Amino acid sequence: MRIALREMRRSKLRFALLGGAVGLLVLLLLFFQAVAGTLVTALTGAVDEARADVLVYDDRARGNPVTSVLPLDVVDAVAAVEGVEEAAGIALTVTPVTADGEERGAVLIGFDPGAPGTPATLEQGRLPEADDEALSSGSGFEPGFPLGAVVTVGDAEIEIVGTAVDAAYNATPTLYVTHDAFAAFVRDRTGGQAPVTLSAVAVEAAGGSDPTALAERISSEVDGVEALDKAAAVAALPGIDTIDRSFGILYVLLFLVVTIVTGVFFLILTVQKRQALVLLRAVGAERGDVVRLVLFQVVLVVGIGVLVGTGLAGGLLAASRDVFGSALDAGTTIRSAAAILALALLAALGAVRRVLAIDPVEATSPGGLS
Amino acid sequence: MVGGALVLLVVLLVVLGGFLDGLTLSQTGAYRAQGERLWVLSQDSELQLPRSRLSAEVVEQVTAVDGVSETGGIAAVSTTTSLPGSDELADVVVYGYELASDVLPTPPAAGSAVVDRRLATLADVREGDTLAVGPDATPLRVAGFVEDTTQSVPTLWVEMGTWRELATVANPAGALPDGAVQALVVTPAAETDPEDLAARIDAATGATSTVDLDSLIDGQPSVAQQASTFQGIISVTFVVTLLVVALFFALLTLERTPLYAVLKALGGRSSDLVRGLTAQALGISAGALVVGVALALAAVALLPSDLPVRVTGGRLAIIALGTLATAVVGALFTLRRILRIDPADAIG
Amino acid sequence: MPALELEAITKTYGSGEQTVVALDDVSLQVDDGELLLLMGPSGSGKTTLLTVAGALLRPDRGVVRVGGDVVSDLKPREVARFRRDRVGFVFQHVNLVPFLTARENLLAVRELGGGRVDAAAKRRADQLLEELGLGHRSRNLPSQLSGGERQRVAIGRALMNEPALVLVDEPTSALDSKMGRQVMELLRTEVKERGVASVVVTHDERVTDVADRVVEITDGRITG
Repeated sequence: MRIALREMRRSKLRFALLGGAVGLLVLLLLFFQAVAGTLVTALTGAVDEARADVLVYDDRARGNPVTSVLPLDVVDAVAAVEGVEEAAGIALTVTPVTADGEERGAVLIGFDPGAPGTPATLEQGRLPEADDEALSSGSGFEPGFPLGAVVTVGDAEIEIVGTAVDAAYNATPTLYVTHDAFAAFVRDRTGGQAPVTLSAVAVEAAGGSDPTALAERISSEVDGVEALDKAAAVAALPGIDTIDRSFGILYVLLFLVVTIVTGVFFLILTVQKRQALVLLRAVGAERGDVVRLVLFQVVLVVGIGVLVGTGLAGGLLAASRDVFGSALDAGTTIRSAAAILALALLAALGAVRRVLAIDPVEATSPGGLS
Repeated sequence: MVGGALVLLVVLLVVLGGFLDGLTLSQTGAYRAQGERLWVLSQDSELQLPRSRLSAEVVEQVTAVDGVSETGGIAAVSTTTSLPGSDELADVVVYGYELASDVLPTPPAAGSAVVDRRLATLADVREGDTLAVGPDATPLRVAGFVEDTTQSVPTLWVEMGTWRELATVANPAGALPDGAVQALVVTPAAETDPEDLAARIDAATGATSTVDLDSLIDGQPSVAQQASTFQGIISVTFVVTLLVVALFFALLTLERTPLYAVLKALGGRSSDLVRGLTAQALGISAGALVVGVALALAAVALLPSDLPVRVTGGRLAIIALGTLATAVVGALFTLRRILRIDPADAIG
Repeated sequence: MPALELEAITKTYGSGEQTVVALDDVSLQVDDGELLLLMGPSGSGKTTLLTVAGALLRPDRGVVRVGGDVVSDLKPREVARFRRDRVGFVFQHVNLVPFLTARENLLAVRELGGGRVDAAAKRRADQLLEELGLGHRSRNLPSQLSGGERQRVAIGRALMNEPALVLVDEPTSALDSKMGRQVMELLRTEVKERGVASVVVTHDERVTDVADRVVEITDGRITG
């Protein structure tokens, strides 16, 4: 494809500009995807990482743990449903805490260590065994508390005995404590006025039990609850739907821009070098030769643009690690790159059609008959 | 054809700007409803309402500070409400409040709520309807509507007693002791410097952070983060626009070289050509702006109403100016080539 | 066997009232090493005849044979191969690819159809350019060459794949008489040396002595 390369070498500016535009759009796309991914993980970590097949909320909560209020006896009612291996309560609230002389906001989760609802993967240390111990988790946006730190929660001093990864709730540093510790904190804060309640029940399905079917059974057999399988529970968390849809729209726009810019560029280019193409066909180029010329350039320019954009995105994400804590995901990157290349080739169809319509006889009579 | 790509870029810019403003405005409606009052939150809350608690004593201390004209408690709880005439539930934030403002009327009677207009767009909610709010479906009568008070979700405004009852059921772990509130809004007395007053309040209590509306909004971590992310993305999009315009003008210049040579041979100066080019760039981008903005507005109108997108005049003006400037700079990329055109090329 | 044989070629354009008969039952033969000049006024059909001979156009009636093989009914891919390997064409208007140097323009025809540009091809290109007096201009773009130089590069390109037939359309129309003569003499030398059959279309009376034979065509018919 020396002819194609020669042309690019002789008009470096225009090809560089297109490559630059594609590169930047790829940068935007990949950057967006990475940040969105981190954001979603940070918001959903506590639910996604929880050892549970089904999560049960109050039926007026719309799958949101913050607005869900369940009485304590719901746990037994849920555990009695056929197909439930084990059920355990989760309580959730938001509070400022102090660690190392510094005040930070945190999410406090009361749970049964080892029972459903426990973060599935421990990074360091162990689960809490006493009321003055806690498991901590942070997110890409804000780190959790380090192992061994002592955190003041209300009046109590709690020691971090274990850490988990990506098990934070709502992108906020999260502390997992025993139910007794949670209840004591709440009593203290509300002046003993509030009843003790749960936010959710985490359920482990018995072997061979289908979580979706189990969730439906629980919803119908237990009064006042809505049960969701893990995937549905994650999707129902506040903000996730909005993020998915908003970013989805932006991705579509970005893909559209890349496609149209590439398509229009190669169309103009083809029109401009029409005479050269006519000549080549007249001296013996087959249709395939000239089509390959166009497609080769599309793949090369867009390919280089994609590589540059990917490199830039990786660099930018690394440089902004403190802010976003995101990194490129190999699978997503490859898929996006492939999509952009495919769209570019599709966009080049306009140019290809023009090229195929060339009749070599035009070489002898650009005006008509002689 | 240049216009087509440019139009799409304008649409992208308007939608991005719309998300930026939409996110910010839709997440701060309840705060902006208090107008220019000062906000008092507990020091350890990091200016976030759900984390803030002011005890009854602190409330008294604040009220007693010299320069304070009036104070009103504010408390918020996230929950859901049934929509009248359907099984559907909607997420809402219920605010207990005490002071009226330019946006909010005086607190309605116990058991009633003033409702954010946004709720009316989600379902046919009218004055006099009853909403079933919270896990126990507590009935609240719709006493009226207010505009632009969303806090990501629609808001309901009730008097404090109603709020406390509701909060005990909807968020037992976050219930407030008697007399306590999450925050206070403070109206400074006439001729009082708000900044001064804020400092005095914090000094008097030793446990509060008192800020004005702008600081409160800027202090919301999600707002700051989103703003910087979207600003960054918008900037990159402008650079892409620059490259695309430069690209197309580079392509067009090549075609026009003979024309430019002739013009120069006929006595046209390079500066004339530059002016012509600039006029062209402005013309194309202005056209693209008109079409792009129209398309973007249509697209935004078609988006689901619960997506936080809001197109503001100020943002459109910035995008318009930015696009025009970018187009001119992009077109002038080809300046060197035009200046180098030899009029002698026009002959032979 | 003649290098080129046109047998009863008829070609018309348009339809109904607008029908134009460009070639009317034309027959012609050209032998190896023969340089034939085809002359006639504008609209006489001479370029159409050249176009048919080079398989750029299919005649409505009649047969075209090059080296004994019928070329007027080939499939598209075979036609392209024929034009590539067995015909060298020098056009009147567009002859060179503007973004390729003189040397690259010659090498381009080797690359077509999946061919390779190897050392032998490069040697041949350099040699041709030397013979055409363009050795020192091989790395120039067409925009940097004079009209005569461009014409010579086009001849080199036509000869690059060692064709059996060279077809030339108005080679001197854009050149002054001195340059035009130079180009025609150069063409003759190359054609004779290689034993290639050549048909040159022109209405330039000044160069008729360069040819072996002059054929006149008027209104689509051979007249002399």
